[in-house]
Amino acid sequence: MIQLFGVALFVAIVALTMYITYWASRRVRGTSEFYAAGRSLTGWQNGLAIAGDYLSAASFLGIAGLVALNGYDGFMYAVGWLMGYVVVLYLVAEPLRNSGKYTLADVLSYRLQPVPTRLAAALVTLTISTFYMVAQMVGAGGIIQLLVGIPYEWAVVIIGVLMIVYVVFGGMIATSWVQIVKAVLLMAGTILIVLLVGARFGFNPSNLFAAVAQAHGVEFLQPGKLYQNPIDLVSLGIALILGTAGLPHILIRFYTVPTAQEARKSVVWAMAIIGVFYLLITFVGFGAMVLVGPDRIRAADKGGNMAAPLLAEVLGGGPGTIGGELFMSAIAAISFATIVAVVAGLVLAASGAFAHDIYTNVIKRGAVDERKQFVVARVTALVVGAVAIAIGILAKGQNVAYLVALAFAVAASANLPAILFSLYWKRFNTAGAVSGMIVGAATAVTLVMIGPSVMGKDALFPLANPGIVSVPAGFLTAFLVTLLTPAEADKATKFDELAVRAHTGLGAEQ
Amino acid sequence: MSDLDLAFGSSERAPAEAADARYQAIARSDGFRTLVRRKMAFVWPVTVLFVAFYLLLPLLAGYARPLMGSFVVGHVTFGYAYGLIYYVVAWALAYVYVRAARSFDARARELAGSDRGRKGR
Repeated sequence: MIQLFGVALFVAIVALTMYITYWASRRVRGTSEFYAAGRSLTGWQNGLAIAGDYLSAASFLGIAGLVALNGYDGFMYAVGWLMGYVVVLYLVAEPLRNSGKYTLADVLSYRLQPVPTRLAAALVTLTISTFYMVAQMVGAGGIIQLLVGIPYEWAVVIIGVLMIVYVVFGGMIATSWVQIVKAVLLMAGTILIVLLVGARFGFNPSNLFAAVAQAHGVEFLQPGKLYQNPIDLVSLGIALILGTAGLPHILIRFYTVPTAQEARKSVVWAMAIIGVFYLLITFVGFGAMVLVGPDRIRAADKGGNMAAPLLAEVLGGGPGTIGGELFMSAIAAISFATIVAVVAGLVLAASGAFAHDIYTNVIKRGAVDERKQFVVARVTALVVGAVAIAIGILAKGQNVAYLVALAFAVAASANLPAILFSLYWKRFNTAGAVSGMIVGAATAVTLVMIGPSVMGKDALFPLANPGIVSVPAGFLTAFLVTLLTPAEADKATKFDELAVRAHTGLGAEQ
Repeated sequence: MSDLDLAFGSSERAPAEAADARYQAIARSDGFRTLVRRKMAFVWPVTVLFVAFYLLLPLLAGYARPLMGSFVVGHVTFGYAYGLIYYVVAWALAYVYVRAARSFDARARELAGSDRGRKGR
């Protein structure tokens, strides 16, 4: 009976997303719908979809666990995830919407030499999306295994097949609505948990913190439990605040709205939802610390990922009660929806980089008719999804949690310099863009490979987070190489055009 | 505008050139330069200061642990209250941006105004 309810919830979520995909598949007629939902979303819809794209299981289950096991340091970590959107809003969202078509590379190649720029940008997008995807797939396989009891491999295959179906048949339209549904479910689940936790502590955070201090010691309310090295923490902070504005799967969402004004509204909506989420998730974590206890959480999963589901079980009435089991299965189902919505967005970003940038614009130099582009885009999505499933299965048991932070570091070190200089610096040239992207990405990846996340105690580089070195490396390389190489005289007027498009919306893709 | 309209109706190549000329004309206009200058003078300082402000959080957590761990109200620590300020500042900056962007929108509409309704390139 109880298991039946859990299964029924999963089936209901899959059925709903399948219906969305069926509905969307009749509207996806070409690349504009496939990559950009026909630019038909409104600001609030896209805002919800951005939240659905961004809030991963690593945030919902991972940060709740981080707070439950470490207290304040988990809260401080959560703060960084909203802050990057200020950079997105002020510097990137509107000019990107006004001057691009389907991918990040569209903006860069507009005023630079198209072929090398697109190639470099597409490779960086594929790198970021692969890191992010592997982290999601491996994490998801393990989490679904824990939550539902199906084997890891099957969990990866089920998630992989679903994301392929959404993207191949429903394109960006289905992906957006799956993300919107997920955002609503995730917020509802989180708010319900926090309300129930609040009810036990008189809706006063101070009472909850008092209970934390009494049960586990005051040090859980203070920094220092998790992060010992402040420089490493600053390095992580740099990657989080500057990386968001360089994440391809987030940036392509701005092409789904009709105007820059709607893009602006969507960031504001996303900031409201994402901010509330990260504020609340720390209460889920502190609540789990007090009501479930770190020992039980660690016993279920040593990374702490079961903190939120176990808390739901306690709030529903406790282990073995119907209410407890029902609430726990609901949270498991929401986690599942969270995972599929994020990976679908990643498949789309990677497909755009390969099909639109590399195939259509580099290999074929734009000489591909619309029908063929549409077919290639869908075949690419199928292949990208299949590769993701294969990597997910091969990477079973690997510790891949650091890959999300690495994805942010690569985005901040490689993409952000290229985006900002392209949009705002007239003298910028192709050599600067390409070298900045390569050096930024290579520095971030190399430093992680020789850092403690991969090499453990024998690490050659002392920090787990490369941002403090790789971000300046990316920006400086792009800047210095530009100054050391000749200006591109034939592209001078192109920058003026880009600036006019970016700041006025004139000639923006409709 | 009549010559431009004519050009848009004729051959394949002419409209692209006409559009290019139009972009150049706007790019060189005083109105556009003023718009860009005002926008840059607003968005860059705010963003740079905000990034610097954000990096204070990990620095304080690392080097000012007694301050961060001290209680301000009941069992709420300074570090927690200080962390909440970031959410408030981020949302406030979003509000400030939306307000400022309205005036930029008005300027941009004036500059691109005569092209309203003409789709893409």
